[in-house]
Amino acid sequence: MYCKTPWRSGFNRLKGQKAGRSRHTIRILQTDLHCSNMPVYKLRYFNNPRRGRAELARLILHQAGVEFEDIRFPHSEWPAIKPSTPFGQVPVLEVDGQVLAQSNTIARYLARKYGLAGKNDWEQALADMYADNINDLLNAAVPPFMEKDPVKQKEMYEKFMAETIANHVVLIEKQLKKNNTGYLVGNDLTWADLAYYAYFSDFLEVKFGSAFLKDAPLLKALIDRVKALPNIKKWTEFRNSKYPEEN
Amino acid sequence: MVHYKLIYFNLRGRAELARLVLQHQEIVFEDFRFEREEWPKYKAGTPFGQVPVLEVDGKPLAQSNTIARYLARQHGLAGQNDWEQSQADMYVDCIHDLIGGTRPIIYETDKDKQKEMFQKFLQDVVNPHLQKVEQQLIKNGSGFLVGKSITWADLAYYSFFSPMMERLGEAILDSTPHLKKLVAHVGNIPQIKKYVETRPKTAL
Repeated sequence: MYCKTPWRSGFNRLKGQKAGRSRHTIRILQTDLHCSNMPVYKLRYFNNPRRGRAELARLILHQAGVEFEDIRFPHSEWPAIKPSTPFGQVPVLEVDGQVLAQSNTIARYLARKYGLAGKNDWEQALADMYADNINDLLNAAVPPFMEKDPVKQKEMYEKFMAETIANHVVLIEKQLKKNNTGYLVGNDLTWADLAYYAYFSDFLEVKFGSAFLKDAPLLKALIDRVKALPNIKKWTEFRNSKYPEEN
Repeated sequence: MVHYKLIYFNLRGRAELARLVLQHQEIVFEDFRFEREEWPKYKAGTPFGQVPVLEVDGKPLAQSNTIARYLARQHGLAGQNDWEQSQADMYVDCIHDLIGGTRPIIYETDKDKQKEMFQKFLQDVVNPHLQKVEQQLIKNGSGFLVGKSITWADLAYYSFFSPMMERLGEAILDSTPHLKKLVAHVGNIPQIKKYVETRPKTAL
């Protein structure tokens, strides 16, 4: 029921933009062929960090092949945008002009709408549970991220990896083994798998390498599987070249 | 009939929203509570080394908001359509953020410092949020946060602000009369009132 129009024309337009545009709001515009039965989605977030709390929604939309306006604004524009948000925060998702806030709520809404949430109420709850785990892990990474003293920061990250991450990896490996389908929930891809990919591969693997996955072959296989999904691969290759990783 | 067992410390804490959902809908459940010293006994049996856990006919579900959302959806407290359900999710996420903000303050042992931290938290974090919520409440126009009737989002705001008012004084909601009215309304719902009067009295 949704448009199969390629978003390729959107990123061809972006490829043609001159260098230095990153200071200004960048929009990946919808293609000219707008389908009238599709909601108009606008996702708004900072341009720095470029992925941050908006990336899960982007992964869901790209995986589902859904058009959206991926609005990234510089911090200088934030004071003007902030009052228009429901709770003074981003990301926000506009759906035909109505606004939804909170990153996981946005992701869940899109996942449910586009068949990435689980096949029944129980599976949907399991997917929610895994997404909440990732939310906790994102919050746990904030104190070391914010630490200004590089020596102390290194120490905090080492403790974080050796304790918080290592403990969770053991438990998630157990769950993957128990589910025995290669996916976190049921026998198919859900936003839970995308959330784990975004955190463990896109964030941790990029930052710390794959050593922490050495005793977690099922988790490693899952994130590799997500990485290789055609729509995800296409998006991340484009994104990584246009918006290089920023630590 | 599905059997629910909600497993948590003998505290309100992160399980209270699920308990309020169940109590409001008058669903029978096993409210399994253990003392802090007993935690090592139960930890290994949980999916991620944490509680609350909800067992649904023996199958475990973890994460406090996931549990409360599942129960709300199963028992008619989640919102009337996809959009309303997402609006409710959004409000509960806001409360989740506020609860996170109180963690370091709750565990501060110096009482004077704690008082100071609460005042700063009220001023910097809670009050700006309250103003936004009040605007949304007025815009929604029904007295409830979402749609025309009560959802788990209203219970979440009650669950957070009712103890906050006990701790810091009722005046903290004076600048947001619609929210203050909503919190009072929830507290006066017969099954909620009865539950609150009879539940174990715990510090958190």
